[in-house]
Amino acid sequence: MNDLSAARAFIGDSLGFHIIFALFGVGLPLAIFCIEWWSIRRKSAELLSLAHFLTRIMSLFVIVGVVSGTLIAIQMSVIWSGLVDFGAPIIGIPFALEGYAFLIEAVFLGFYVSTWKRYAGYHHLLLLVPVILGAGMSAVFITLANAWMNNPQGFEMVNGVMTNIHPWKGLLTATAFFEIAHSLISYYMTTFFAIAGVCTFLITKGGSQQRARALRLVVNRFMLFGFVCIILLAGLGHASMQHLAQAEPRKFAAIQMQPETLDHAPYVIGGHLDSNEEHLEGGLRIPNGLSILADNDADTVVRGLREYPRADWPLLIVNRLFEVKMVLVGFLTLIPLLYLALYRRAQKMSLDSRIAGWLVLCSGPLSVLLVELGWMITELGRQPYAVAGYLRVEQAFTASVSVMEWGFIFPVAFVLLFVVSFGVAFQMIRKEGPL
Amino acid sequence: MNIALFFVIFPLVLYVPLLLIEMNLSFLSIARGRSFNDYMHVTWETTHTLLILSVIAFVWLFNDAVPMVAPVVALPLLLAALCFLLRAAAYIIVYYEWGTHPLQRFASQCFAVSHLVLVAGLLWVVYGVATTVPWNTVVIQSSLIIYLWPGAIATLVIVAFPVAQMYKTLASID
Repeated sequence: MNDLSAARAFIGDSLGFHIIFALFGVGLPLAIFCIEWWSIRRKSAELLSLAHFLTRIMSLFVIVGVVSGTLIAIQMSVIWSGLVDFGAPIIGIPFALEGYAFLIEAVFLGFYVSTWKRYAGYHHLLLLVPVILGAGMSAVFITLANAWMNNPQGFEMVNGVMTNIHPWKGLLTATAFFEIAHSLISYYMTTFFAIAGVCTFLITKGGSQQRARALRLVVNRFMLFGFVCIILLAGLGHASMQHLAQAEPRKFAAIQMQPETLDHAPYVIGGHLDSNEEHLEGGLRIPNGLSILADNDADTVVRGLREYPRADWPLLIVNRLFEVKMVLVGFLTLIPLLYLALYRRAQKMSLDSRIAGWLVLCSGPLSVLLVELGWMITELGRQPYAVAGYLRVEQAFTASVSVMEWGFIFPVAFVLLFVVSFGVAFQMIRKEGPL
Repeated sequence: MNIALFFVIFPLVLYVPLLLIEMNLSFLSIARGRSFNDYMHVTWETTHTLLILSVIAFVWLFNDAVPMVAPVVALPLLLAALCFLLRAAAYIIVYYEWGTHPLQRFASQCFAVSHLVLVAGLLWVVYGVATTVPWNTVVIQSSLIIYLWPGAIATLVIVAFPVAQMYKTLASID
């Protein structure tokens, strides 16, 4: 392993770790807003207590999200200085504005946490609105920058120099829309499913009728919200794949592992490239499937990987990751449906049903995995470029910095922080719980 | 240049005393055997965000200098980043598990010592940046300034009241 590989592994580990906490930092304010709102409307002390309890967990996750985000900012500056130098005229804007959005989120989160006794009802609830907006806008700004790296626009390269720069034209693209919508909805979905899982667990601990009723209300509604999110994601996913086929054909070909440029291209599940990497062999074939996926027409020509130099191919593991992701999407579509069907059939006894309970408990971790896979496909699919088509990863890397040792040290710190944060969160759920 | 430096230095000037307050409280926490949740819980994220704002402003406004500075500040910055992660783990044990966790005292000590490392790391970085950047010739990404000014003013207006209320909790610590 050389320094560049270590640096790639380091940023990959850091992003993979950060996204777990970042997604809850974005999703939890909205979920808590819903629960506190329902508590006010229903005058339910149990729901209010649940909102208060989840606020503590949100603070805990935000702490970890903040420090892991700082680490990524530091890595960008010292390890990937070539990217900063190249992209600053355009992605400097969303990064700079992200700082403000994050400040608003942090300030109002602290204020919200500290004013449970001082303000009540809608006054307290409204303090969450800036937290929701701040967290959401932070995610939007960061994703804008990422979308530009995937599909850079808004400038011309003249003799290796970026000129005629139109930053907003470069940032506000269809790629950005699909990435932002896809990621935000998946963060909310994951949070809804995870809280539904927590509430299901709390129900099994027993307690009063009112408590069980309040928790069941949250489980049912969040499973429904999660289901709506996964349906939206499926629709958006299809549209974004069609956009990908047009805007990022190299990544599209890698995700679909399509070596040849073809019309009437089949959709192949589980295939592999032959030894010359010229043809796709094996797998389950759906005739014309890929051409139809790319543009709703079997005559559509799908560009293959062999149109690009071998050195420009992304890591082909994205194909396998994509297939696993599709299986997860299938599961996550079925889980809420099965849960709601079981709930209807068993009426109020639904949560006594072990199957229903386990389905809900599984949906949160599976959603986290889905988000991780989504980002891995996005990032690995752009390789070997840091900015697609313009800046290769080795050009973005600060060659004079040695990161070999850090690539081993930080994962240990991630594991420690993960164990501590989730350990404390589980302890809080197990020991205290709301009410 | 002066305006660009303002966006780097102003959040840092606010951050340093607040970090020193946190350091003081972390040592007090060990000495007095009690936590200072009321202040730390409320202000922790905001205080840290000030540092992030400073880093962001330097990286994107002085992007021209970043490749020059990176090798010089890589070690202290990565050390500081590692310290942030360990500090967060210690913080969670100290402030969420107060009085119940078997590693309470050890975590409190780690949390307190981490501040010393952070201050040393920050001084190292500031010195490295100050002596490495060719201030007379460095090109500033001035196109960002037009976004930073209105952003800063709007944000300050939005957060002024809650910030004042949050940091008031410091007065209640005796």
